[in-house]
Amino acid sequence: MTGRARSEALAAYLFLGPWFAGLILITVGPLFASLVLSFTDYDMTGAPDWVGLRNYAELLFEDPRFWQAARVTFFYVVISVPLVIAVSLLIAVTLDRGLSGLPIYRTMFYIPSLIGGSVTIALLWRQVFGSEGVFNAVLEPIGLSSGGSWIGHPNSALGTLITLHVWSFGSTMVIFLAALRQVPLELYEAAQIDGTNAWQRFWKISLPLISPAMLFNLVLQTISSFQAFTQAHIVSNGSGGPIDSTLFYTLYLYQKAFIENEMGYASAMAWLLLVAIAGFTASLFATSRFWVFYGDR
Amino acid sequence: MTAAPDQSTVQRRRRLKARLWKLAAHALLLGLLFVMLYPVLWLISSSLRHQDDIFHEPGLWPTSFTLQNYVNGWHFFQGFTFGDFFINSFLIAFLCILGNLVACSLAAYAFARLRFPLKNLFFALMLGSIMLPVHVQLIPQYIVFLNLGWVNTYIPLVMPKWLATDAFFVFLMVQFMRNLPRELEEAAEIDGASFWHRYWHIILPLSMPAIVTTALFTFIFTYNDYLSQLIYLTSLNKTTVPLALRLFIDSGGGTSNFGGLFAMSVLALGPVIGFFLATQRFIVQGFATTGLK
Amino acid sequence: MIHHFTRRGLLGAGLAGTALPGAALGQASGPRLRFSWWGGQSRAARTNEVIALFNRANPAVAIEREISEFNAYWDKLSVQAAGGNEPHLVQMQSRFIDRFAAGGALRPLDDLVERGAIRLTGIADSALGTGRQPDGRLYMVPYGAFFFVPMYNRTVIEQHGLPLPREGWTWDDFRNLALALQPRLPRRVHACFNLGGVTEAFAAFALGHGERPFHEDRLGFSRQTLTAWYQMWEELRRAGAALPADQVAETNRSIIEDSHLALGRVIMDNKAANQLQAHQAVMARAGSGQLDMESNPRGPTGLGDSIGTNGLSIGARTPPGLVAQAAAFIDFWMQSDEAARTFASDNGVVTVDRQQAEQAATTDLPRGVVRNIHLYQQISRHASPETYPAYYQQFNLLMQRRYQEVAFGAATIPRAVDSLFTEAAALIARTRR
Repeated sequence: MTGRARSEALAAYLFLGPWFAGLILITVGPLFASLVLSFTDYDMTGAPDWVGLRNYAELLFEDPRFWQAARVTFFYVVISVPLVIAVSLLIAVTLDRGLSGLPIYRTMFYIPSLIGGSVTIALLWRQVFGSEGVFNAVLEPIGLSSGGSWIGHPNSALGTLITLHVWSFGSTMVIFLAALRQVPLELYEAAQIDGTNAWQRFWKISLPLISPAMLFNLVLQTISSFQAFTQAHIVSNGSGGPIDSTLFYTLYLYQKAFIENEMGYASAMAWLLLVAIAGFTASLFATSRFWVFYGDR
Repeated sequence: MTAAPDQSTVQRRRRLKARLWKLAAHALLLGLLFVMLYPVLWLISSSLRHQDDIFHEPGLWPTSFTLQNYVNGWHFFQGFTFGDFFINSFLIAFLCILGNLVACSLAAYAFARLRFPLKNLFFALMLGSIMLPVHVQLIPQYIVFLNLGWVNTYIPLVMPKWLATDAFFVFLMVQFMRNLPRELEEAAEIDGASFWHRYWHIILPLSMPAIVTTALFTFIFTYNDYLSQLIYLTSLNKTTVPLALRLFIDSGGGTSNFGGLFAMSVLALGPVIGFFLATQRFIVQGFATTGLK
Repeated sequence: MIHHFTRRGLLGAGLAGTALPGAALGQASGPRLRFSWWGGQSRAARTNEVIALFNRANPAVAIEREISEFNAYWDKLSVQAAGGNEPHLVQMQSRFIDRFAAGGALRPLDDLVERGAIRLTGIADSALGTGRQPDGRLYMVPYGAFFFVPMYNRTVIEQHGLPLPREGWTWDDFRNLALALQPRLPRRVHACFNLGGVTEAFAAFALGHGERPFHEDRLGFSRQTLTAWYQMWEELRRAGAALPADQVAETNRSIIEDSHLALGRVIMDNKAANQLQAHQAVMARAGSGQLDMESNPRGPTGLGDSIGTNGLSIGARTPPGLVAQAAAFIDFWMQSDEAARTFASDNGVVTVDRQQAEQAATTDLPRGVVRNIHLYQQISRHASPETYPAYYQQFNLLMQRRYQEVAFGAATIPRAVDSLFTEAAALIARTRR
């Protein structure tokens, strides 16, 4: 390594100092411990018992609820991530510039994401999608609903959770807003002079230039959606019901860990999830070569 | 014979069209907002009605009006008010914000701007660290902190932020920093500026949107972080807002205080919304105001 | 302690060398007694008053309070126990005691009882039984008894001239009452909450058929019993007398203010008897109507009531000095009549008979609370102690899920019964590993 490269590497390691410390002191230990636990039977009392690959085998071949949880979660990720991205991008573009009262609008659209994870959300969501909720109040008179509960029916319960996720698009929107503002105005002005319309400007200028933020949102939304827990836990009262239709993977994991006291099994579940998420994320990064453009090139 | 419309008419028509579009946009946005904010509006309206009316009056407009829920909720318990819990939450949030800003920006600069061996591996490790569900890390982490004697203190909640464990923000800042043109630093490099100088005087100021976003989101994440606070904080005087809110509901069969819950939830929104209103200007400032050109 | 620590060696290997045996599992070495309990504001207020009374008599004991919401309480206790850091004075419940006692988180109390440090005077054996584990030792001193019974809207039933539930009524009586009521009820009001997936109600049914529902190593009820149960509820559901399945699924049964019974949307339900007063309060605001409750319907072989308890335990790793203090607190809580008056059976009917008698006779307590005590006295003569082995919580979810399948038409009754038994067997096998 040249002297310059060496000093750059050294500087990098210094900048990464806190992160290294965090990795070693905080992250690696529990990560490794949970990996080890995944090969054990551990009911959180006494010592763990080594069982080798049994947890994994049981998960993959003998546990129908595992597959149900995987299905529910996969469906949730595949539907809600694109939806959230699309909706938040659309609103962000609308609230980027050109209208009056933008700060107020942005704040208002951001508010739902603040309550999304709180304990009141179950009650609020039932107010909307419950059998006596406002959704029915609007749809029943026009015949689009028979008055049943959207939250309580296995065919629609997951849909209400997806809606909840999309409803809390605020943070994704903020990131798009910030990214949109990094696009130099001159580019838009030049394009306007050239006679392009708004859609073309969006597609050819905005999108490519906010692609780093797009990658970020895609990756983080994917990672967090795979691990979605709080909303399902609160809205279904911890059951993942009705009939496991909202049995998110992490909810099932939590049931195994804290209700059945099977921490070893839950750890195996956790590592399988990590592998799945890592796979998805890696492919996102792999494709990013073709559609993400950084301004430093 | 029809004359071609003159310039001023065309311009007037264009302006009228633009105004109509804007009106339509406002109408759509307001409509959408009403639908989106309905649950929030219901929350606020329920906090203003008598506690026992909350569940059997589904409408938006309260038939009874009372501020009693706010009073009840605030005076939580002998010797404690919700104000104490707000202070605790703010303290934790403040320390976490500082930690994240410092540690994550340092790490992000390295990933975004510096070349070094094993960079991709470390980046993957960094992202990988948030892919494992928190429930299986809870007990090992707890045992570590327990052995250090840090249970029932704020340290387990704050310290990780100072060690850049929030990969979310590292990645966020990386994406923003990588978007900044290299010319800015190249000039400084030619002048012989150190990496620290470039980080501190060039990259950081330009990353203001990412920094402010980090501060805002950190505030919200720690403010709402129920699980860690539940595990690590035991004594009542350290209780924070999310923990206290859950104490309003008695699922063990006692009487709950939903009025208080809703009232304090509304109150809890206040600081966050205020924070957002105050900082959103910096998030959207973009290039134009950085005075570079 | 060192021995205990090396048992965690497997975990310790993964923990970046920060484990310090000398830090003694992180317990504060001061004289503060950590007392944890669950509940909301009002429960906390009452508990605090009792603590204040105790401190008046024992000013030297400093008590540190740890309060959690009910559901989170058990998660937190699990984590604390896994780390060897459970509180000194632990509020416990008969439905959870198996998990924690078998897991070594609780200290047996027999030696303290023998020494007279904890007096059990006046506590019925049936209540005490809930605090004992299969090994015969006492792990919890029960202070409040709860039991689940049919709760109903007396006003509506009387209005329609139908027979009220009474002691010794049968499941057929119940079914007929529901079916007779339904046609006379307005739209969207149902005769009964759908209890097909509710474990407590089914337990009463099974007990009435002579089957103790849960054993340590197996289920105690038969397929026929479960099938009969599902059939009854399907009949009621199809007749519209029981709440539709989707409305059941959206309901959080632990929120009283939102209960269908209290809001007049169902006429009968199965609830914890000590919630009568709270339900009545909600009903008073929502409209009118008198709520009442009765013992469970009897089955062919007998009555179906069972009793669970809330009580106090001592953490297994409590140092001896604090054990004495914890014992003194438990003794005070149980035997101090003033404390009992202050707490007023807030967390279940007080188990000490003289305090029970006092509260039953008093005019100070609300009607619902007194009714709770009277009903307890009525059923405690024949009620069996609830036995809830460690698999209970997960079984609860299983029970809910299987009936949901039946009610939503996703499975036939025989199939649902079969899969419940299969899954329960696997569940039990896992917990015994």
